[in-house]
Formats: sequence, structure tokens, C-alpha cells
Amino acid sequence: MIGYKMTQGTIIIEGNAGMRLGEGMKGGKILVKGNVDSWVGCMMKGGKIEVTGSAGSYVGSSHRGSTEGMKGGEILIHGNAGNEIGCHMKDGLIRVDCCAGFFPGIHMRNGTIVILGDCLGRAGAEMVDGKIIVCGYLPSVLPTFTIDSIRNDVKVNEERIAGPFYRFTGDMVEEGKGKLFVARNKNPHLASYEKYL
Amino acid sequence: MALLVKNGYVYDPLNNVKGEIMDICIENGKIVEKIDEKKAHIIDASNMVVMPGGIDIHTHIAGSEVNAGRLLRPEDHYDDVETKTAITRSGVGHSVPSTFTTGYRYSRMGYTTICNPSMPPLEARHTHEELDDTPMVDKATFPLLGDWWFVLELLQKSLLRECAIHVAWLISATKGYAIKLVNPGGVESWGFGMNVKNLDDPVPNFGITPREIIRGLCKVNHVLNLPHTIHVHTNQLGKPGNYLITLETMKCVEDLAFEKKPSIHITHCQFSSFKGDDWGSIKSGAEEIAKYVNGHSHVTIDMGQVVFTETTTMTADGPWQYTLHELSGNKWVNHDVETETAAGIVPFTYKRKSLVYATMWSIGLELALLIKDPWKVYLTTDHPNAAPFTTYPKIISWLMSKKARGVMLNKINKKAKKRSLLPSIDREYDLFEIAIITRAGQAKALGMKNKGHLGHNADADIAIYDLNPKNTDFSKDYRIVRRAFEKSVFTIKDGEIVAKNGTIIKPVVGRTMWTDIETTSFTMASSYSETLKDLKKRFRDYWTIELDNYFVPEKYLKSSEPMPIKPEV
Repeated sequence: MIGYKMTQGTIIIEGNAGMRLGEGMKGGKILVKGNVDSWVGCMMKGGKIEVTGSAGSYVGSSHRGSTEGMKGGEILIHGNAGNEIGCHMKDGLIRVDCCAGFFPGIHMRNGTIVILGDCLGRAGAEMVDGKIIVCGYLPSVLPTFTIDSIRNDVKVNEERIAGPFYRFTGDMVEEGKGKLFVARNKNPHLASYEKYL
Repeated sequence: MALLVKNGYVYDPLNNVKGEIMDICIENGKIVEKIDEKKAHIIDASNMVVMPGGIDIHTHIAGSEVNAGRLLRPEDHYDDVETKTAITRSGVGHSVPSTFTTGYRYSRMGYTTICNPSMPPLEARHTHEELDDTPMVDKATFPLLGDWWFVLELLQKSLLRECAIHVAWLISATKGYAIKLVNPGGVESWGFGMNVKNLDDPVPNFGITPREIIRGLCKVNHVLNLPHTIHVHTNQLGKPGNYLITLETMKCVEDLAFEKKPSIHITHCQFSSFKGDDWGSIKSGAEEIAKYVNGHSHVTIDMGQVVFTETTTMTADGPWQYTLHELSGNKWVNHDVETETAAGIVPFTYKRKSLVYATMWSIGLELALLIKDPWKVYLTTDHPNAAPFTTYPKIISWLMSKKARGVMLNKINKKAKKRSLLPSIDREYDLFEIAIITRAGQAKALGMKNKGHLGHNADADIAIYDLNPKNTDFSKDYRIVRRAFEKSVFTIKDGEIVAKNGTIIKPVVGRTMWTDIETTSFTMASSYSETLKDLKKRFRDYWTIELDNYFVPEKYLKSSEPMPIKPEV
């Protein structure tokens, strides 16, 4: 629980960190020069966490049982991330430079998740709103998502990520209007969706 | 050990002591008139307030639904941790604390007796196991009888005596204390996806109405001579416009009051005092309820005061919990307890800026302030439904200070503030009245003769608070009041100092009180063997357990305190 509810200042960790790093933090910056365990930035409201290595599961998510996920701030993971990142996320940004596990953005209410690498699958399950961008390979899109359009790029804050991307809307189970962007070039198996456009 | 509490400002409403400087003598766990001062341990209570130990008439602290609440809400436990000490156990929980933590926290606030108001008879063993593990306080628990099949069937056939025999057997079987009704008839209807809409709406398959159940059990309560009245959670609880059904419920037992004694207790009345046609037009019905209670002696109520916080709602009122789940979209638990009752649990956050929740906050306080006689209204939050019991000090400060109420009024929803009656109410409780609504009145309503007062031979349950009534203006310095009631300087339980300055210094088990109804006249009756035979058959046909396993023997309780009762038949 390093940086628990911190409001300002900087913490630099030369090595690996354990679970619940930066839980509930409101401001300041944490830099980890190594890997971190699960629940990085859970329930955080502001500030920035940067991890040069990989992170465990539940990045920026809520505690077990709670529906109060990350509400603001930025989490940058330069390596891989585990399962269920951004669970119950309400705002803010999570960026994973490599690959992510199952269920990124599960129960997500708002905010943005960017996965520059591959994703194991089931992205955006039960999401209500928000944006998930998968730039690598995604084995399949959940059947409760409908294809909306093909976009040349996606805007994340001030940055534009070049596409093209399939844009899906969902999760219809929750009558959600979340947006799931999946890179077209890395996912030729999703080309069958194009006939519905 | 002998104890002498010296020079405190004593508030003992049952003995009409209003802040006089007195000494209290304690020996062998009882309050006595005199002790040998040289042999006694002396507590200097100068410039402090001495009251009987607090009593909570309605707090969900044990049993299957509380435990399911703990299971449902891991997020309730993360930020509220009770650490282990050399003599106390660890625990967690903000709104549904673990058993030991519950006991410690009550004791720190100067409470010594609490009543668990909602025990499905089938879950009696579980409830008693948890009560046994709730230390520091004496406990009682009320079995849910308003939808028990035997009650519905026998009252429908107008077999009052038979019904009384069954109720007496059940209270003895479950080691209960009083008769609890939750949404009478409605909970049984919920088994078929329905609810009762008014007091004359028949229950499916039984044809009986809520009015007949309430009146029938009120008569049974009188026949059995139980110490407490029937304890009623009204129909249509939590719905706009329900104050009319609450008034109707109180009226329907008006003729069943004997010797001007109360015949009904309406619990967490705030939830039953809504005016308006829908959530948008919700208003307070406290004025009408208070007017009725002021004009009649057969009703007592408790507040069920909302405090703006995150909490967990749990009740046997299954249909209401379903409505709450639909309203909030939160996760929930729903349970049907076979032939007896139901239960539902929904996590909930009362927000200041919501019209509905702010109105609910206002209604609770309006009830307490508009009911003139404090012996008729008791302080509760229906823990944890409207707030955890740890918020009592905050509520006390609102009752004692118009300024404190004003501070909160300025923070709540503007529409709710405009509709609230609070700005027009100048009344402020004094310490004597606080002592009534937090201990003496509750003891009287529960019929606990040795509790809630400091007279000769009373149980030596005492709370000493760091408050000086002579040099404190409670109206202005409401924060001092809050701090003082948050942790007692001393909590004395059965003549022993168990908590000091908010720290537990001696863990004690606490007794479980239950009404031991003298049933010789029933068991001697020729029809009794037939009744028993019928009970066995019914259990075999409809319950998942056998009759023999249903009965909780006295030896099952860690510390049993039966209260002998002689029925009037």
C-alpha cells in the first residue's frame, strides 16, 4: 500500500512493488522502476502512476465487492498487465504498452483504457460507457457488442492513435454505450463484421 | 468487587433523578444503597455525567442475514479495521462489523444491552451462536412471527388460544424475547412475487389480512403477558405515502391497549412516515404521525434515523429490498426462509444532495422532536439500515442542538431543506431526555425491570461521559456532546469496569435474555399432545429440518438469562 491516499509529491521505487500501490491516491506521482503486483492505483482519484515493468491484475479497479473503481488520474504500464484492468473504472486513463489479460474494462463506467499490444479477450464485458482501444490482436469480440463503423484513428486526450480501427458499441447486456476500438490490420479474423456496416 | 461512583451528575429518568450530584454504590453486579467506602474501588466522576448503560431496542447485529451482509460486502471491511490487543480480538466492518467488534464498539459508547430485532425462527441457532460471540453487552432477540405459517393459519381460523400456544412454544424453542412482525402478510405474499398494498389486502393462499395478523398477535402478546409489545415493521415501508398505512396500523390496535399501557411498537418509524405520491413529491409525514402518537398512549416508536453515509440495508421485508435493489441498481441478496419469513440485503449510500435521502434524514429528527413525550420515542438507526450504530453520538448532537441541525440543513438538497419542518422546530433535548430515549425509555418499553435505571437492585450497568452540564452549553457546543458520547470515560457492566476512555479493558461475555413462558397450563391441557403431533407432522411435511432439531436448548446459550413470564390464560 505504498502511496495510500497520497495527495502530492513523488515516490520513486527502485525495484518491484507489492499490491495496492497508490490506492486511493488523489495527486502526486509514483514511479516504479520494476514490476508491481495487483491492484495498482485501485480506487485512485488523481495523480499519475508509471510502471516501467509489468503489473498484476485489477489495475485501476475497485476493491472486491465495491463498484467504486478509478475515478481520475493516469496509470502507465510499460510492460504487460494482468486480468480485469479498469474494473468499475469511472474516469481517467490506463495505458498498457504491451499485452493485457482477460476482461479489460469489465463493468467500466467511463474513462479510457489503451492496450498497445495484444489482449487475451472478453474486452469491455458489461461496460456501460468509456473507451477501450486494443491496438494488437484480440481473439474475439463479445457477442453483446455491435459494430458501428471503421475509424482511421482514435483520440486519447491530446494524442491521436493511428488505425484503422473497427469501432464496436456495447455492452448491450447493460444497454451500454461504451466504445471498443480494435485494430483492423492485426485482426483479419474480424473482417466478417464489415458486412454489417 | 465493590465500586463507588462518586460525585457525578446523575441522570436516572426512571427514578426521576435529573442531573443531581450523587454517589452510586455497586456490589456483586447490582446497585445497592450503601457499601463500605474503604473496601470499594472509587471512581471519581466529578464534572461528569453518570447514566444507566445504554440500551438499543432495534439493531441488526447477529444472525444469518447479518452474516450474509458481511459476505456480500467485502468492501465494507477494508477501511475499518479493529486491531487485536492483548485482551480483545481483531475484527472488521463499518456497517456490518464482525461480532466481537460490534460488542466492543457498543461498549465504548456506554451501551450495555442490545436487541437483535429480526430472527427467522429457523435461523435461531445461528443467531444465538453469533450473539454468544458478541461480547460486552446483554442481548435479546425477537423471532419473526408475522408470516409464520402457523400464525397465519390459526389466526385465519380465529383460534387465538391455539395461536398463543404455538407462539409460546416458538419463543421458548428459539429463545426469543418478543414478537416481531415485518410487513405482516407481505413477506408471505412475496413468496408468490406479490406484496400486500393495505391492511385489508388478503395474503395469497391464507386469505388472512395484515390487519387480522397485527390484531391477532397483539392479542396473543397480551394473553402471553410478554414484557415487550408487538414490535412492528409496517406494511409498505419505504414507499411514498406510507404514513397513512402507518396511522392505520397504530389505529387498528387502539382498542387492544390495557391499563393505558402501550400495545404496539412501530419500529424505525422514519421509514414509515413518507408523504407524497412518488419519489419526486416525497414529503415528511412526521407531523401527522407525531400528532397521533402525542394523542394516544398505546404507541411507542423508534426513530430509524438516517445519517449520510455508506451502509448496508437488511431486513426481512423481501419485497421492499427488491424495490431498493431496483432503485439503486446495487447488488443484493434475496432469501426465502421456507414457511416463515424472507430476507433481503442491499448496500446503500445516503447522499446529502438527494431529495429523498435528505427528506428521510429530516423525517427522523422531526419525529423525535415533534413527539412531546420522550418515553414514546427511542433513538435508533435501525442499524445498519439507516446508518451504523456508531453514528448515535451525531444524532444526539442534532437532537440537543438546533445549531447542529442548521449546519447539516445547509448542506442538504435545497428542495428537501425547503420541505423540511426542522427550521420551524426550536426544541432541543436536554440530557435527561437523552437518557430517556437512549436507555430508560427503551428499558421500560422492553419490560426489563433491572435495566435502564440506577435504583436499588438494578443491574450495575453504567455509562460515565465526560460532559459537564453546569458549564457546557450543549446547544452551542454540540461537538463536545458528540465527542463525549463517542467514547465513555467508563463503561461499567455488571459492576465491573469494562471500558475506559474508549478502550476495552475487560472483555465480558454478556447474557442472552429470553422470555421463559410458563406453559404448564398449555402442556397440561388435553389438546397439547394433539398440538405436538400436529407440529411434528407439519415439520415433516413442510420444513427442511425435523421438529427435534428446531428447538434451541437453554444449554446452547453461553450465558442464559431466562425471564419467567406467567401467561394470563
